[in-house]
Amino acid sequence: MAEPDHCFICYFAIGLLQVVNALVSEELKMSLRVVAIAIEVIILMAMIYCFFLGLKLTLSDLGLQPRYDRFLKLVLTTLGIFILTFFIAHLILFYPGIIP
Amino acid sequence: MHSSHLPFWAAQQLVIDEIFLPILIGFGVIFLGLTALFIFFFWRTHYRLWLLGKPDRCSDQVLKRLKTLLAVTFGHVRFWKESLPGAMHFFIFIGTLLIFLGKGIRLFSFLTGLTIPPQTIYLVASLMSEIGGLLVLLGGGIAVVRRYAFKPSRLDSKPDDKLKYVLGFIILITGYLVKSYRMAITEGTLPTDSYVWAPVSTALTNIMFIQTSEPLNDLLVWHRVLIHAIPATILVGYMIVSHSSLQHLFLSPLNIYFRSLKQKGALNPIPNFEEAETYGAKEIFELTWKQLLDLEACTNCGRCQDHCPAHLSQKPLSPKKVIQDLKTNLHQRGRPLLWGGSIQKESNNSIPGEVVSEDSLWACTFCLNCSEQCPVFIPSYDKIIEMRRYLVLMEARYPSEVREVFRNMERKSNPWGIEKGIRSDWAKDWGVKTLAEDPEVELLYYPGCFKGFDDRNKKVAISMVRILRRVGVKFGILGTEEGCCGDPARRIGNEYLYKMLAEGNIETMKRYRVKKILTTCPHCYNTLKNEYTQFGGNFEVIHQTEFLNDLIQQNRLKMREIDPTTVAYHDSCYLGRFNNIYEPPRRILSSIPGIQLKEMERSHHRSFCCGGGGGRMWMEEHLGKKINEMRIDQAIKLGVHVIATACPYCTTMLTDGVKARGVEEKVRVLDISELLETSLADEPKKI
Repeated sequence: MAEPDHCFICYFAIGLLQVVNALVSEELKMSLRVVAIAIEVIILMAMIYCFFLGLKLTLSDLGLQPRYDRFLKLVLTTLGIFILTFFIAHLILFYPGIIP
Repeated sequence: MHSSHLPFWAAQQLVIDEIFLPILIGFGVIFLGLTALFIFFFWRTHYRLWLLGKPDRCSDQVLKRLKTLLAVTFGHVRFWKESLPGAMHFFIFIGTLLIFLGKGIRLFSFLTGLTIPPQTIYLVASLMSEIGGLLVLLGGGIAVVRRYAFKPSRLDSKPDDKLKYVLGFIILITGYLVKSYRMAITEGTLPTDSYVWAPVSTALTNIMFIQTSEPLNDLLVWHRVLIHAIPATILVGYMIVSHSSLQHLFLSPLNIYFRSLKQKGALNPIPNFEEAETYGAKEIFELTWKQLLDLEACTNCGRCQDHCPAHLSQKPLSPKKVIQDLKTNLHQRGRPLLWGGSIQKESNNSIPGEVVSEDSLWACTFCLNCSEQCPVFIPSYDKIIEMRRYLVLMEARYPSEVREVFRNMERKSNPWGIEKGIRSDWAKDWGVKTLAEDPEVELLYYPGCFKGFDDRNKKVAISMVRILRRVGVKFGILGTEEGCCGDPARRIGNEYLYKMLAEGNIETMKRYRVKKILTTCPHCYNTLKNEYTQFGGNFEVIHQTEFLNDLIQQNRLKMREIDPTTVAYHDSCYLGRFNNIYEPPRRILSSIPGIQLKEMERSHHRSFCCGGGGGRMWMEEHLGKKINEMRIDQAIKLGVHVIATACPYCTTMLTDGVKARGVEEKVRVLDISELLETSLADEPKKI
C-alpha cells in the first residue's frame, strides 16, 4: 500500500486508524466489514435498479403496451432478487476482512 | 517532483496499463457501438419525425445563431433568470465539462507516456476532474433536494428523473472510489502534494479496504472500474434509445440553434391563403418541423408554467402541459416509423380539443411570458395560434361572445360595432386634420380603436394631441378611413378577417404615402411594425413612449413639479416582451418631478399580464380567478397611488380590476401621456 511521506494529515489519519485497529474488537471489525459490504451492495443494487428501470421505460417508449407492465415488473423483481443474492454471497467471500 | 515519488507514479502507470486500458478499450468499442446506435435512433425517431412537419426556414444568419448557442450553452445566459435553478444547472454543466476535460487530458498523458513523472498539465487535469465531480455533486444535490424535499409545483417527477439522479450519483461516487483505490494499492510513496491535486481521492485512500494479496487487489480494482464504467454506459444507452429528458443534451442545443430569429410575437401568416385547403393545425404533423423539434426539446422544467398568468389564475392552461401533451401525441403517432412502418397522416385524433383542451387554448393571453422564460427558446403561443386558427377557420368553434366581435370588425372595423363614422369625433374639438384634408404631415398619428371609441381612452388620445401641438409636430390622422389594425382577429385565430383589415389599412396608408406612424396602443404598434410587413406594409412605427422619451431627452418638454405621487409602471406585454421597450416609459416617469417610481415584483421581462391580450379582452373570464384583479393585488401590496400604463388594454383591464377590488380611492390607473401632460400644464394640476 502506498505510504504517506512527510504528510501530516496522512500520518494523523494512519495513526488514528492504527489506534482504532488496536482498540477495536474482532466483533467490531466484523461489523465494520458488514457495513462496508452493505455499502457495496447498495451501490450495486442501485445500479441494477437503474438498469431495470431504464429497460422498462425504454420498452414503454418503444411501444410495449401497458397491459404487460405488471408481468415485466414481476420478471425484473425476480431477477433482481437473484442478482442481490449473488452479490451478497460473492462480496462476503471476496471482500477484504481487516482495516489496514 | 521528489524522486521518492517516481515509484508511485510508475506503479500507477502499471495499474493503468494492466487494468484501466483494457477496460477503456473494451468500453471504447462499446461506445463506438453506442455512437452508431445514437446516429440510427436520431435519424429514425427524431429526424424522420421532424421531416413529417411542414417546411420552415430556420437556417439563415449562421453566425448569429452560433453566437446565441454558445452564449446560452456555456454562459447559461437564459438560465440565470432564476438564480437557484440557474446555479444548479450551471454547476452540473460546468462540472461535467471539467470532468471530461480532465479525463481527456490525463488519458492523453498516459497514452503518450508523460506520467512518470506527470507534467503539470496532468496534475491540473486531475484537480479539474475532482472539482468537476464536486460541482456535479453539489448541483445534483440541489436538484434532488429541490425536487423531492421542497417539491415546487411546476416540477412533476417521473421515474426517468429518479433514474438519472441515482445513476449520476453512482457514476460520480464510484469515480472517486476508483481513483482513490488505485492510489491506495500502488507501491511507492504517496506524493506530498496529492492533497493539492487530488484532494477528494487522497482523503478517500485512508478508508480503503485493502486486500492481503496483489491478485485480490487487482480483482477489486477491476470491480471498482467496472461499477464505474457500466453505469456510465447504461446512462448513455438509455439516453439514446428512450425518450428520456436526458436527450435535451443534444435536442436543446439544436433547438437553440434553429430558433426563430423573426420578431418576437409576430405571428406567421398562412402561406398561400387563397389556395390552401386547410387552415391551422388539426393534426400534429400540420405543425412545422421546427415546432415538432420544440416539442422534443422541452425538458419539463416548468418555468413557463410558473409565469403564465392563465395558469397562475387557475385556468386549465399550462404551457408546459400543452407542449408535453403534444410531445406525447407526436411520439405515439411516430412509433410506427421506428419499426419500419409508415405513419397514417390522417387520423381521428385532433390536437385542438382532444390532445389540448379548448378551455386551455382560449385561456391564453399571448403575453409571451412562457417563451421569455424558457431557457431553450420554446414558444408555446405559435402552436396555440395554429390550433385556434383551425378551430376558428375550419370548424367555427370559438367562444360565443367572439362571434359578435368578428361581425363588428368585419362590418364596422371595430370590435364594438360602433358606427365607423364617429371614429374620429374625439379629434374634431381639437382641430385635428385628417390626411384627406392635409396629407403633408411629418407623421401619421394612429390612435387605434380604443382611442376612437372608448371614452376613457379618448382622454389619452387628447393628451397625446396636446403634447404633439406643444412641440410643434405636424401630424394628421386617417379619421374615418382608419380601420382596426386587426390584432384581436389575428390573436383569436381569424386570419382571414385580419388579412382583410390589414390589407385595407395598408392600401389606405400607401395611398397617402405614409412613412412614419405614431401610435399610442402597443397592440397596434406591434401589428403595424412587425406584422404589416408580411402584407407589404413597410412603415416606420414608433410608440408614444419612445416618442415622448426622445422629446424629453432633447429637452423639448419642460416639466413642472406635481404633487408627490408614488407610481408603479405596469409593463405592457406587447411593448415589453414583444418589443423590448422597458426603459423609455420608466425614463419618462422618472423625469417628472414629484413622482417616486416603484417597481412591482413582477416587472420588466417578468411582468404579469393584465389579461386583455390574445383576444381575451373580448371574452368572458368564466374559469379561475380574474387576472386583472391579481395584478391589482400586486400593486396594492406595493402601496402605490398610481399605476401607470402605456396600453389601452392594460388601462381598461386594470381600471376594471381597481373597481372590482373597491380601491378606487387608493389607486388610480393613468396612461403615461396623461401623467406627463399634467406635468406640462401651465398651472400644475393635481393628479
